[in-house]
Amino acid sequence: MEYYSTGQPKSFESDLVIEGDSSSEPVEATIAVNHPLIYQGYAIYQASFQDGGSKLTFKAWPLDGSQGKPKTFSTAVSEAMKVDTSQGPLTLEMDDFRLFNINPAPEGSGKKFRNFGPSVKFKLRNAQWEAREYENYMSPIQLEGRAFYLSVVRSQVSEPFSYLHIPADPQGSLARFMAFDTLLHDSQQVAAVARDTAAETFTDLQLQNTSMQEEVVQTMVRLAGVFTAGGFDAIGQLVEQSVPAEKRARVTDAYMKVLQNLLSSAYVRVLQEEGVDVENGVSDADARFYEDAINAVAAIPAYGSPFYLQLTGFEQLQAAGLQIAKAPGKATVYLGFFLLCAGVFMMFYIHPRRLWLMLIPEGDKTRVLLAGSGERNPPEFDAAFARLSQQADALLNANHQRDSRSL
Amino acid sequence: MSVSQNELLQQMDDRPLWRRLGWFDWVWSLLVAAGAVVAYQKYHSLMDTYEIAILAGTSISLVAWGWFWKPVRAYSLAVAVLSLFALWLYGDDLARGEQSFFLKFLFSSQSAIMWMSALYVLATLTYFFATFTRNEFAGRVASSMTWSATVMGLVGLMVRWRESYLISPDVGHIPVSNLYEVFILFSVITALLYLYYEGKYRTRAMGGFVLLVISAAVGFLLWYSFERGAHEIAPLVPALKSYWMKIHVPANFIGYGAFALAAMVGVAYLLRSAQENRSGSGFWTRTLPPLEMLDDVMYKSIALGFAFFTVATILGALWAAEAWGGYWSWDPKETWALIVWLNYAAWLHMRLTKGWRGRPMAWWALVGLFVTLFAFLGVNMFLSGLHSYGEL
Repeated sequence: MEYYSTGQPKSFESDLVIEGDSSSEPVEATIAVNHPLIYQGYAIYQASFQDGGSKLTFKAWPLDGSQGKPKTFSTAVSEAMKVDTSQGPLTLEMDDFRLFNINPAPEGSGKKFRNFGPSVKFKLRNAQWEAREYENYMSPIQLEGRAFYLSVVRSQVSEPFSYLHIPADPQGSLARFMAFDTLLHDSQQVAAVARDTAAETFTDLQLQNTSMQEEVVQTMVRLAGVFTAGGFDAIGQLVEQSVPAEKRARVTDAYMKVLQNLLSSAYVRVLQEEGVDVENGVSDADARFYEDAINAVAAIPAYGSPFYLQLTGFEQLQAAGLQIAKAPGKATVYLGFFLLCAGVFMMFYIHPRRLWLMLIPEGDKTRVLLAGSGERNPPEFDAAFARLSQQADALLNANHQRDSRSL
Repeated sequence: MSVSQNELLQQMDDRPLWRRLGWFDWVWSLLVAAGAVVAYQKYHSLMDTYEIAILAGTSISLVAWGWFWKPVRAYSLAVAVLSLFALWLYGDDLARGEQSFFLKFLFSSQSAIMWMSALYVLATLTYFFATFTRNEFAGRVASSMTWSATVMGLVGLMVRWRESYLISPDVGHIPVSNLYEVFILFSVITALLYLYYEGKYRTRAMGGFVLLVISAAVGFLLWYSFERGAHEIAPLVPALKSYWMKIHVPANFIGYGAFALAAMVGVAYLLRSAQENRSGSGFWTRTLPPLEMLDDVMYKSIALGFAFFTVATILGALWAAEAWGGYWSWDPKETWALIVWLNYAAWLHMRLTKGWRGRPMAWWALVGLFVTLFAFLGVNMFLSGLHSYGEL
């Protein structure tokens, strides 16, 4: 398969080797769309193109807080494998691999299309045979100047796709986000962060109330749990269920503040563990990463997969669909086509014209009556007929004069 | 109406064709042949057998066409000179389209097509003005504008063809591959057909009507290029890479153009006949040609369109057999092409064998335009299928 520099497909070609009778040499040929091979009266067409079981390697990052390093594994397109997860046993079905993804470029970039690079499509099927479709892009994609790992998901064919944008860290990897996510899912670590945050706040405010401090810690841990399990919506629901209507707005505000406090402290901790110097505050880029990361964490519950599959390598294998046809009547069909075209043109451009000549003896003279019809093209026939009758008149008159002279 | 003695004689002339040819015919034919030979010598290594056959066929048809309809000689020379001038200005550098004055404002495909659009719209207005004021001079201006627009349109396509190769040799292709390009082709072909009948019947009264449908096409073209950026040259999808495209698409558009012309003449017919029925005489009866002539133009146009549409459909079937492995796949475009074909076949059948004439046929020709329009545009908008090349 060849591509244009823009990544659009340019041609689909297949190299064929036909092993005929043992006596003859194998025939080698390249076929392409619009260029079939005719072999012993059989036409072999390039009919379709698809993945032929590309070999893929993945890194599976846990999203549900299950501890441990990302697992690497390899599989191939159109293979299925069983995985045990916190959601029970799931089947991972590899559907397709695409080397190029040409998508409309954002407005104002000066280009019409851009290439998102390789992507892989797969399904996660549970024991009830319900499947979610995913499409993950291999390389981070630039959006508004930041890089994201993009994953597209839908749980039913009728539903629109939803997108998970995971920010890539300065090294272009998923490591920082995954560390952050794992921390937020680990209640012990969250509690530790919460304790530090609360202590700091209480010191700043010069408060010395251990029981209240412990209460704040408990609230933080609970909110973190609710948030990681259901995103911001879940916090809203929690408030709706447990707080009378008139106080909701205030409580929501307070919850959000507490949660943000905790999340940002957790993020700073992740940065420290990574070795980033945060003595002089967090850099702009890291601050934006935090915003994006929070959005991604909030979107994970709806994402529905217990892990994120990062495509780390591939070996593309392509398969061609061939169509073989034998058309022994080809010559007849072509003849028919030719006759049809010729017939149509003849019908319009060769006009049947009819003329009648009637000779009526009148004494020693003969009256000549000329009549004609041309139904296909009356105006032109009229002109032609007028000319013809003029000529006839002239001819007859000349003859008549000669005849009278000779008499 | 101005009828020169010469023209009248020419029409009455019944000497065989080859004896009627003058020196200009021969010089022009030699130029066409020379052009074809140069093209062959320069590019034959890049052409396959079919493309060489198409080159030869095109040259022969062009010569025959020029002998049959004299203005084609000057027209083809104008297009050739202007296109070659633009190509010479371009050299091998696409960026010169922005630097060179002539390219930027006149002959780069984009500018030429804008000139074409403006001239067609102005010509429409001028034709109507000439009809309403019965001003002979305005009529001549309108004809010249239509001729100029038609030159610019074809120059635009020719230059665009070259521009696509300048972008990159593998992007290069004949500009009949998407809706934007075929709309230009449609305008040019419809205008040429109209100009032929204008010369043959020596009346400009139908001009406004025919140019109205061209102006509508131009309106669509402008919307399509400003709103959707359709004028950008995109590489061909693999299914379109074939010499068949070079003949299938233009043949189809001769059909569409002729059907559009017939429909607009049908409108003129209906206006005149309505007035004749009501009051016997009036504005349209004074300005429009007699009903028999309108009827004749309608018939000739539909006959020509039908013949080429038949050829185009058959070429399409042959191409389909080669590309998709079957003559006919009942793809929406094919189904609608069949509907259009049957519609006009019925029209012609009723006229030729049943002798139907008059208002019903004019209405039918007009309705036929909408059927054609759906096949040509509606299918791309509402239905998807194998022919989804010009998407809206």
